[in-house]
Amino acid sequence: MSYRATPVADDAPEKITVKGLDFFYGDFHALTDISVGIKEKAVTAFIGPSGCGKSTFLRCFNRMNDLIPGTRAEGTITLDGQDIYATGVDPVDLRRRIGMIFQQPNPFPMSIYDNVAFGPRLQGIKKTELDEIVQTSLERANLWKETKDILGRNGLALSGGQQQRLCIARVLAVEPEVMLMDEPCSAIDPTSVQKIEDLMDELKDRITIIIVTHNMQQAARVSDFTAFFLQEVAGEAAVLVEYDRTPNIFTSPKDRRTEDYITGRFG
Amino acid sequence: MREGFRQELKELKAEVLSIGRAVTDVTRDAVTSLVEGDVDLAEKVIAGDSEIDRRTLGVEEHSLEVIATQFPVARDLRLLHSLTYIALHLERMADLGVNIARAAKRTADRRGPQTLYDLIQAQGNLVYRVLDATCEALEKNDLELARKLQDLDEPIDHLYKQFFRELARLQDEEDIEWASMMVLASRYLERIADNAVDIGERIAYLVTGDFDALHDLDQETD
Repeated sequence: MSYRATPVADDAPEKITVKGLDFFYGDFHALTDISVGIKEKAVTAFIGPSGCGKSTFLRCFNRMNDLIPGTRAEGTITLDGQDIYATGVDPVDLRRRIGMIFQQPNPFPMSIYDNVAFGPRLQGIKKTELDEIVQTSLERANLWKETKDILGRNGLALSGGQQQRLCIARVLAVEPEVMLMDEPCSAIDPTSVQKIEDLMDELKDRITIIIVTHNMQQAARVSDFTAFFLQEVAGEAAVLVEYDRTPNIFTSPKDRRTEDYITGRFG
Repeated sequence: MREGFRQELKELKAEVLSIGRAVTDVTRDAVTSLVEGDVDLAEKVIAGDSEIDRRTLGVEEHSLEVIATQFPVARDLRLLHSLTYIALHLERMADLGVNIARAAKRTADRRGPQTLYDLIQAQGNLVYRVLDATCEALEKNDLELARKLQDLDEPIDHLYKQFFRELARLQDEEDIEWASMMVLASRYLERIADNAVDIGERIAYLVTGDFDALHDLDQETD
């Protein structure tokens, strides 16, 4: 993995802007007053102890939380300046623009080819173009060399690390602008972790990546920006404690709570 | 496991502080050997240098091990990084003390004007004060004291300049080698204090995390 030789410019545009977001699971107030600007074509990491709401926050970006009854979000989240919670926004279209990778690789029980072609087919892409999309997506996910001769094999026959890259290829096939990654490396072996981290570094030339990770070394290695979330009192809403460039967070955090968490003094 | 890590950080800092106090002793002994013409004391200073070299190298090695195995961040990382730099400064300061002891050996068999010995002693006294303050600032993470080292250093530079003026008054028959040894000793003392000021900047960075504290280092040590 190449070290971040060129830091993201201060005036780089924000792909996603969150203002005064509060989130509720029924009566439970999970997140309070979160405001943050996610820079375009950069990797942003969300860190914090278990239960601090970082995954909940991540799922707000593609409205995955809508699928859970009784949830509601207040405040605004804009993608390229457009409110994603506005009436008329199609969540399905939103989830094409903002793809998601989960902790557990979840290929469909179908061939490698069909896994990648699944999204483009739904979009009505013609058969003649599919081959090229499948190849390009697998190449961009660094999985082409390993699978080009076994495209007809079931995706579930691949190793865990390969399955995760297959899921990344499946997301890339529909040309997303943002990729959300929720603990993408916690269920796979170290070599595959390395491959996925390398991949993130390559992909950020084209897309914006947000990763939730419990592994702080990983956050430090892969991200340009880091946001630290904390639920200070059990049962109360979590807050965004600090958001800054990753090297600043890991050398000179400004907030004592961030400092105590990343140095292992709690959490 | 994290407790063991904290203990290691504490021990490393204690070791650097202990080296700092040893360097203060080296400086004191070196100046005394020069002013009193005490060759035995000068020999003792010279012989003790390899031990300080060994200990400072030990600090660097130990810091690297901790960085490689414990992934320190934030103030822990700044502490390890700063301790390594501070140890390097201390090693240089001890070398300068050895240079003063060597000058003591070369000048012990003759006696120059008392004014110059008095000046060296006065300069030495000011340097001890800087060194004591440096150790205290590190021990207590005292930002204010660390920043004050610069002020404490100023009169030392003035004495070095005064030393030149006194030398200019020497008569032709005065021993030129003796005089130049004394000038060098004064210069070494001034350099020891400069290194202490650099350590003060490192302490300021350690405490604040603000790298700007280090930006002027090069200019200040010239």
